[in-house]
Amino acid sequence: MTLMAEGVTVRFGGILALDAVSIEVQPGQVASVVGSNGSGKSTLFNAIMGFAGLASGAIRLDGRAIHELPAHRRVQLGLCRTFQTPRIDPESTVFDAIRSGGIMSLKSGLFAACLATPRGRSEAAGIDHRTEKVLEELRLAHLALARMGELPVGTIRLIDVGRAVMGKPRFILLDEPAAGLSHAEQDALKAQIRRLASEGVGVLLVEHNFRFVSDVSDHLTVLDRGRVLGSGRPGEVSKRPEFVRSYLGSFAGKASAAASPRAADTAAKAPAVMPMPLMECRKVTARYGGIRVCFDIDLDVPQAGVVALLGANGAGKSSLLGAISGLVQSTGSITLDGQRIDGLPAHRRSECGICFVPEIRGNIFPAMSVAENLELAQRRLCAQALDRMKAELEQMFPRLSERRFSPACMLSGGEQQMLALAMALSLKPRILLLDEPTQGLAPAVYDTLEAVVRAIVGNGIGVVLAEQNAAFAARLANQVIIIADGRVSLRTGAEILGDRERLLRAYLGAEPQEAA
Amino acid sequence: MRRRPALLPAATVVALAVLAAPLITGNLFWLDTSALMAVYALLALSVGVSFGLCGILSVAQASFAALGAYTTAILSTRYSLHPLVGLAAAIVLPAVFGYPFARLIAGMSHLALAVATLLFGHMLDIALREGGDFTGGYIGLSGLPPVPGPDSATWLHVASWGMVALVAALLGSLYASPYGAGMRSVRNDPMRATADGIDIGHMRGVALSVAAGIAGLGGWLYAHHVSYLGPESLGPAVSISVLLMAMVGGVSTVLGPIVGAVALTLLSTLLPGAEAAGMFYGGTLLLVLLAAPKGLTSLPALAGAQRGADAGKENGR
Repeated sequence: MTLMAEGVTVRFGGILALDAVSIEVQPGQVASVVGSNGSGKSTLFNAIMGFAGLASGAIRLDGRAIHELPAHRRVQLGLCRTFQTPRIDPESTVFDAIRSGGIMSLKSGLFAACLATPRGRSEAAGIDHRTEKVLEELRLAHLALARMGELPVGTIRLIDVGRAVMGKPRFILLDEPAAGLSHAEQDALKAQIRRLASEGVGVLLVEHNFRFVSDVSDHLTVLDRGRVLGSGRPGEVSKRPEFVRSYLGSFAGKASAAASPRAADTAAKAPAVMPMPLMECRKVTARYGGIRVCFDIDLDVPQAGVVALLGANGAGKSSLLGAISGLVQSTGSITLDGQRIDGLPAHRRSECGICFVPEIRGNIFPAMSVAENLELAQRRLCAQALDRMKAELEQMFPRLSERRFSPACMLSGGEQQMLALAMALSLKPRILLLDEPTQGLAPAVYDTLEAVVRAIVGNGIGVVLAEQNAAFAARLANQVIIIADGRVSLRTGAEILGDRERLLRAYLGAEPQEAA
Repeated sequence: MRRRPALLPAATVVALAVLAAPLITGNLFWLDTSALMAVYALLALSVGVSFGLCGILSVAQASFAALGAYTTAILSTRYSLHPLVGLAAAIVLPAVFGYPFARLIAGMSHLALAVATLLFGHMLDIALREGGDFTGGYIGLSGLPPVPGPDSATWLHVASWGMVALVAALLGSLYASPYGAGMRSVRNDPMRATADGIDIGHMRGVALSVAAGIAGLGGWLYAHHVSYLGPESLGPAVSISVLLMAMVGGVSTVLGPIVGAVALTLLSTLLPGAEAAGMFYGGTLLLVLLAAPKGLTSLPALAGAQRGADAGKENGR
């Protein structure tokens, strides 16, 4: 009576997405998988469910190998999953959405459906009845006729769980069910998970929200770059250094650096009261369709200053930067130098001086050479300005001139980051939004990166630095905003970065929420 | 609870057909138009099942109809079998063909699948032309017996719309059933449907099979009404126009394709200007698709939503 993945290896082309990962879920148990972005959590789900093929290893249900079966057969055998981004039909009603989970239990087929035979009708009535019961269990009965597209993400995720339950699964796989949920919604979800477990359903959970995970899980597995880093009881695993490193980036490993005099220095240098901010964001809420990912965030960026946005993976940092740049749908007001820009499309905001450097150097074109990439970014400059810009960049990024004819994809991670920054500066930004510039970089490059960002700030540019790596942020930040679950969990000066305990609490969302 | 009204579309069809009967009785032109309208309605319903319900963008509906039409034509002219035998064969043969055909092509993307069905149409077209005496070649088959029943033009009206109403009734039940909901979820999101434990390949096969059977019925009606059948009669051009009819009426409802078939047939019959009629036709189509992207049958709902929004605004004030 167990669901087991044994030595599961999954490859996508030459990339090893999962490397001999084993995991086991017992009926009535809540097992969780945590790990940073790209650690292979979702791939593990896909492999178990049949959405991704195995290179080697086995998936067993009660000892029976099921990894040769197509996905829908595994579902019929009692496996069920939810999706990280709920896959909904916005037009469908809540009732119909939940009912969909019960369709596979139909014994009667097409003819019964077309002719509305008594058997077909009684089966349909049975499914409808069960749907109503599930709606009541989830306390969603009042929403039965609401359209899915009109609901907040928390409700949609609950509905997704209800849909999974309709199939009477023996094992249920929940992919980041708590992302974007309010605390009340998280509590409702926890209750639902606990009830499922008490009814003997095995629950496998992938989740970024660590507090949520440790509250509900019996067992925890840490994945890191496709490998199992460790497993055990949540309380025990969270104390292990390898977990802290994987989950919080290099923050813990470099805790001493965070407490270095430099951080204190920066904090002291930063004026207590910020001068008139260059950019003001008020109550910014980012959303993907009906799914809100960060809520009512206020953010002021001074001219020539660095605001660090910190938080664990999935906290909503990138979405907030996306909202400011106009690439992600948002509500709330954004003012740049007294001008409202929140109504403008992304390219107009860019012309106004908002420049976004996405994570993993997403603004560079990998197949094009360094020179071509820069030309693209500099296409709007007049001849004179172009010469000046080139000289400036050459001085700032000597390494790029050496490699000007290499394709961008052949550069090292550090060089790519320099190119990304050079391209951003070519647009003459007033506000620079940097999303995890240290991601995937060797610590040796941090010094160069720090010097470059300082030079940028020195030129009077306001910088918003979204980082998972608190130690790096500590070197530069004038102000620190910590985001957990899409909300500001702490707003403070850079001195916090020396206080490891408090920082960890804020990361995990344990600090009291900022008063609205 | 919250059942879709399963028999409402069929009842609407019956009511309209009865209302129209006294207006067109005795007028052979309109009786002929009425029967052709019913043929188009059946083909558009076939689009509704394959594309509207299950998401298979097939541009071969007329070819399925041709398959049915030629089956009954060959059976009744070459083997002198009763048209009712032909009726069964005209439904079953395309339906039996539709299932494996769908399993073969349903994994393709929308566009590739549309092209594949179009190619099937062309292959069938060539086969019919090159079929020699068996299919009548370029000349086609003529002298088909009329639709069985009393020898009156009004009977044709009754029989054709009776068929449409019957299909609408069956589809109404299907659309309202959980089985139909399963097909709809294959259309909306195949991955989601798989995660719900639905065998999407099988569902698509069933949907196209049903669609092909309905098209075959349309083909049968066409063959015995017109009593002549050539390779041009139910060619790829017809496939495209019935696809348009279904889209204009509202492809995801039962009534939509029927409304579209009636509206567009009326439009092309009533539009002035002989040579320029195509221009008016195209323009009207474009307007309808712009004003009601989900089809004419979505207009009441759209108006309702607008009223709701206005009321909301007033409350806001």
